[in-house]
Amino acid sequence: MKLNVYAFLLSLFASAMFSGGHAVAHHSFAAEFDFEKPVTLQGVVVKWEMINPHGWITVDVAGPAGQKVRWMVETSNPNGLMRLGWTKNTLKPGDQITIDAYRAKDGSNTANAARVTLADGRRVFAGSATTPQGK
Amino acid sequence: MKAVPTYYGFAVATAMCVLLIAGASSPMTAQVTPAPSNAPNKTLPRLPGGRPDLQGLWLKSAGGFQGLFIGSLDGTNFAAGGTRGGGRGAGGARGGPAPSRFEYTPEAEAERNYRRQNLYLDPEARCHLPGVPRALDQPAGLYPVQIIQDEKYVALLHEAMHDVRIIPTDNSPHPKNYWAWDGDSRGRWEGDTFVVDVSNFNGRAWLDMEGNFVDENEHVLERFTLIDPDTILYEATITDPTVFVKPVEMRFTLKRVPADQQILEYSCLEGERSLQNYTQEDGGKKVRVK
Repeated sequence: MKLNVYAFLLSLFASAMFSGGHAVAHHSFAAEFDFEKPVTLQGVVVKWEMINPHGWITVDVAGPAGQKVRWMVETSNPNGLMRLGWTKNTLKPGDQITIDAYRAKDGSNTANAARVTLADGRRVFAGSATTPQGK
Repeated sequence: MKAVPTYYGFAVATAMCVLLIAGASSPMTAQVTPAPSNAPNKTLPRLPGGRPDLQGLWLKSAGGFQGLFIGSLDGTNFAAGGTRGGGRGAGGARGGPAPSRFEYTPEAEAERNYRRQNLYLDPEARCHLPGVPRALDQPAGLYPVQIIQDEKYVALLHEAMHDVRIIPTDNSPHPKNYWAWDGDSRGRWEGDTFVVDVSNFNGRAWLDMEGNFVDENEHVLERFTLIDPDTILYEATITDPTVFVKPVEMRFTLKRVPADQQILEYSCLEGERSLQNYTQEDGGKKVRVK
């Protein structure tokens, strides 16, 4: 069986991403985040931590009155993201990005990322096993 | 072991190659998991002593992924020619072949229900070792395991949790007065199948992140069968007379990952900031906002 190496890995990763379980790699998505509360965050990257078991994007978002509101956005497992093509340089401080995400149940400015539109316009997957279609 | 690229070099190479193949990936072939035969398979890779060579990097296969291919990083073409994501296929909630139903004693079922309402308690969510068989029964397709083998040992090096199992092949007895998250593993070859008897558990591990669990009376019999050069059939029978009224059977395949890949670092505690956000309805401290 001849396989494209990266297609193989990406396929396997996609299987995890879309297998329908309630897994965010090693903990429960549902215990922390709410599918019923999607949110789109447009803001400026403060920090991108590509660390295990989950990456974290710190982003400043303009609030309704123009004030700066800081959000913490969890991504999927960084090893899986790296196999998709992410690197620690995918996000840089100052980048203007848009994140499609799901809010934390506690109402804090915490969310779980599904996709990120990067500063160069590419829209990349950052999600987890429960990331719904269309998000 | 041949030299591997540096972490960042590998990351860059991966990113470049991913971009190169965008839109030109190959579909996967259908998953086949026949029952292992007793007849020696002459097509299998073998060690000089004749045992099947299990060495390599492996990834738990997902029942739902076959036929999928990745078209691009934007996630818009994950499944050409089929339902996106492939549905659940023949698999269970996490994509792999579903384990048989857990049949608990009444007391254990109450405990399972309590844990299901308190996912905050999941040991792996707080970076403890997963136990057996959860070490392999991770979310499908996500964390590879490296197998290294000689005549005396079969070693499983898991990316997830940096879990390591070094299994002697001499069927030696379990030690006394030793209890551990992963228990103690003793292996033996039965024809071309590597059979592992696992005991001496500390009784604290969960079987998954849904609250299914075992106690210190857990006993696992694992069977690793190389059914073709790129597929290991993994079977596990879990018995625990103080938890289950019948054995729990698990069966899924591990697929070979191309040789230029490697285990990556998994420093679990570094970025673990999730438990602090768990809400009270799952046993956490945060109050859910409706």
